[in-house]
Amino acid sequence: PLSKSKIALLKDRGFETRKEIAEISPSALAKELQIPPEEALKIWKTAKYGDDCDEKSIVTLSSSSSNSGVSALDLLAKKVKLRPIFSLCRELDQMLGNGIPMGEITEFCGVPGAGKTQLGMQLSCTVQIPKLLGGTGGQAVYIDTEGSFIARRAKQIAEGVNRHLVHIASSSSEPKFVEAARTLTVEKMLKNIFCFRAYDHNEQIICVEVLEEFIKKHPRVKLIVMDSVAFHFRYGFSEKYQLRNMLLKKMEHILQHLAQKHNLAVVLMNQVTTRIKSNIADIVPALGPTWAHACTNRIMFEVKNDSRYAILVKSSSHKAKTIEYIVNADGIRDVCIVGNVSNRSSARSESPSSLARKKRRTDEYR
Amino acid sequence: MAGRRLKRLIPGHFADLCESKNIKTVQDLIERPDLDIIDALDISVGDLASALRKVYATLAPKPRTAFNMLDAEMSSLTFESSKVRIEPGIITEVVGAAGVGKSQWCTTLSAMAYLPIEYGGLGGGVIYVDTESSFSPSRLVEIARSRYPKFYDVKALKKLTQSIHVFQCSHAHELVDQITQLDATIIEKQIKMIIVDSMASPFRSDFDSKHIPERQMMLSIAASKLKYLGETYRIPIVVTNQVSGGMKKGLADDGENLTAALGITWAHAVNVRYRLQNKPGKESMECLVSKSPCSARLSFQYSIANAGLIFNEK
Repeated sequence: PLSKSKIALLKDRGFETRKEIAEISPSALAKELQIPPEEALKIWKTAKYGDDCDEKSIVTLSSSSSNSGVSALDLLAKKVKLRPIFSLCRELDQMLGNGIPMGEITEFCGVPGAGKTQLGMQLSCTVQIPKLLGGTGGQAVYIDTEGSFIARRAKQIAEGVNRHLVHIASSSSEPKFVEAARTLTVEKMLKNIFCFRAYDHNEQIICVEVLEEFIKKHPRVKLIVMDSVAFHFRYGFSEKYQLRNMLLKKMEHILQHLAQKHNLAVVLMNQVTTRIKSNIADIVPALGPTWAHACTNRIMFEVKNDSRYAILVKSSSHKAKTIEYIVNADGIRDVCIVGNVSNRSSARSESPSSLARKKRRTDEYR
Repeated sequence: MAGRRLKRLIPGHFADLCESKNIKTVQDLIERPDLDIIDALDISVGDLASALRKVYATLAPKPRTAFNMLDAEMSSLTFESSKVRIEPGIITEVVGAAGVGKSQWCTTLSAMAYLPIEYGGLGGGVIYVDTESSFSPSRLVEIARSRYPKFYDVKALKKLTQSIHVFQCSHAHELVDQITQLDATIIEKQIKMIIVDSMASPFRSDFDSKHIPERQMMLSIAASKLKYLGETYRIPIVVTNQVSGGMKKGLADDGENLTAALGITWAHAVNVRYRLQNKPGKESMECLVSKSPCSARLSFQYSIANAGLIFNEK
């Protein structure tokens, strides 16, 4: 496929074999042959990919075998197709866009009793909301390192989710919505949450290592919750912080890979610790600044005088924001402001129009 | 898991190879960087990857669905006339100032635990780890006799006292060692509950303010071992804690001036926390649910009588 003049030129400059041409870069070839880079590239490709391809296939080969990355447009299209996971606490969802995003690691830190485990259990249920109702229709993996997953409470939360869905579906006039809400029973929700109990950091790491295989066998898994990532790494590593960081990095790497390859959401719960700086005690996320790089989004839970706040402290696409939430029998919900007094004991359920609006919003981008 | 030997868990060529290069336990395998292992064992990247995959698949915890876990959750202890439940498999903490009734709480629970399941008890013995030498057998007998007069006749009382196994530990490392060795006792003596009264005492006395990180580390180890025991044997773990007037920032507490001792790391580790306090101007005392994964911030009135801790009906 190369013209005679080109072959003569190559011979002239001392190129005997195809291998010699392919082993240097196109730009170096261009310099040696004193020809423009585009021509050098053509020669280089021919040398690299074989004599029997013609001009056309060389061009097609270029886009498939050389790595020119994925265009931002493709990424954007992919992202809007992936539905985020609703938490049923509208303010929390809006803080992150439309819900817990897919393909990213979202970390929740907070003081004990803030509601992290509640959120983890709740998301394990809401990830299962059928696609017809605007949800992800997936399953959940719950890696429990502290023994805080209590099935009885998960059942209560599942009942809350089911009630919520049935209420919304009934207020719409579509029988198929009602049907979809009814089929997601409490029993079904509990059967779709896979709990792994890790008693030490070794088991925790092994859990993460076997997730790839597990997800291959259960492709409907769309959420991985780790509650909490910190517990086992906060003891047994005195003087061995490098080792700890290496192990944490290993875990982070695998989780990141899983999130992106399988388009699922990874939610990590972290603890907090006190940092004393010039006599002022501050509450900071545990596991140190190295770990802080692991998550794509980070939300701090705070409790002040019986009120609970969620603060977005790290996100690549949304700005910092503080919202208030409550924990009740149904799980985590928005604060309901009725009349003069904010009524913290009742929940504001998602109105039918807003859930439909959410569905429309995700549909709009299709 | 950490100390278990590879040779026993995954017998075969790979384990033998590891053993010969001093990679003996599961922890060794995980903590060595992959490149190190490849060098030491002289195998290829691909070989290591597939060997590790097999190893991890064997060692990984088996998942259960939440639905299956629902069936497995067994009976709990409930204080009569209240919703205060002591659940199995998790750490329940009782916090309060001195004299408010923490040891009474523990002793009452010990009397309740021996009752058969049909009577609301757990039908078994109790391990009582006493770090303050505050356990009083005569008080136990008094509570049992007053609270359940029909059940606790002389014979039953004798059996009750035989079923409470008291371990005295006054130092933190003693406590942790003791907790590690409880497996045998739990199985032999049909133990249905572990009580540690109190957790705060040895840790606060052994570690001063300059050694807080070491203290937190030991606390985490203790918590981890206790949780393991609780979950493996499906029994409740009850610990007591003291209060301090220290830094208050951040704990999801009920706005009191005194906070629970032992810091935030320990607060993360306990699953349920009950706060006992004297209500000024009221006769009875108050029990507040300070942290719980399945209950709201309820408060209950209680008083201490012959029959132990009595909760008042609302």
